[in-house]
Amino acid sequence: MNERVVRLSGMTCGSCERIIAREAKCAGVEILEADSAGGLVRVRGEDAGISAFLSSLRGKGFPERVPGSSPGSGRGDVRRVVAFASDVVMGKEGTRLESSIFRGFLLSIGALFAATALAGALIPGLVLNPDLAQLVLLCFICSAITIASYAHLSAFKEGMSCMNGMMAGMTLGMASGFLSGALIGATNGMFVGSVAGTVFGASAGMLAGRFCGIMGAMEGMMAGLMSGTMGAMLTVMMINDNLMAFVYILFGAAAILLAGLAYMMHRESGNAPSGQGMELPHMMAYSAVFGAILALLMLFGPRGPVTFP
Amino acid sequence: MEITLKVSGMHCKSCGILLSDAVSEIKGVRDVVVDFKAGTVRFSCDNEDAVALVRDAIEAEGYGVVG
Repeated sequence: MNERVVRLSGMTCGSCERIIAREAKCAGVEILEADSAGGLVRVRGEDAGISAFLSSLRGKGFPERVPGSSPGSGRGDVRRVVAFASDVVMGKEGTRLESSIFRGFLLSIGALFAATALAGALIPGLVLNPDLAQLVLLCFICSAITIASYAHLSAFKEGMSCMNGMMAGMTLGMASGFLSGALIGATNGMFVGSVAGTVFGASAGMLAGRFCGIMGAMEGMMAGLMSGTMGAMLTVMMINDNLMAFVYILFGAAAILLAGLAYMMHRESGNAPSGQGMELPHMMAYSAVFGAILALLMLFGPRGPVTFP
Repeated sequence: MEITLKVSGMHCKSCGILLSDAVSEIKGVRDVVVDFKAGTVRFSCDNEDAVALVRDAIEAEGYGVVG
């Protein structure tokens, strides 16, 4: 009889542990310890039994992690994150999905900025002060980054684990609620900002979280509700302080978090099961609609742009 | 006959695998398809006894049959 500690990929919850226990019983292997949080299983049995056990687990979607090549290895290594970011920008093999979404994100922002410049040239008397113009452009970035993140998550929707789905819903709900609440709050006050932020945040969080079921959807909605009000509250409180600097810090933090979410999905799930994610024209169209709603609400909302009259 | 049962308590892919394995082991039950998102277990069988066995197996795994 041999005792062995096995590191497994894809093991995330109590149901995973029960599947592993069942396969162990079939292979005549005894489970001494199972830790779904760490993906570790300590087993005892004959070599042949352990091999059969690992083989059946591979078939169920729990392959053994090989040090140095598995999704779980190298956690916390900043160089891997930098290499991933570089591969996405360069469009290298293995990050095709992320690269195409990144290009879509840049194209969406470019198109929205161009449309704004065109509107400024064509509509007589439309002059925004510099701060308000920056906030309008940030609306489009908020829209494009939310849609890009959702597009990436939608490519992983098949078989998304509960933990990843809840993380996805919470992060996207929190980021989009915070950003939209802050932008609308800065120009329309706390009430309109809170309502708009919670609606946008909860919608984005719910849509992203539902990929793993009702728990993810609820987690996303909860994050959106909380962040929408917080975003609006903070910018209203900072109207007489360094508001623009804060908004840029907020956008930088949200961009880092959403990029981190994309990295997490890529590392945890490998290549997207459904392959492509959202088509580029759809991504641009959704970004335009969401961005236009935010910008119109900001400029022509019930309390107008009150920050910069 | 083809049967679809509505099952409560499934929340992830592993719940689906767990139920699919449990139901597939029942004699006389075939073509088992579990959709954890929709909360359904679909299968084919020849008699009502098999349906009762499937219900028992689902409940034995800790899930509820709600329809």
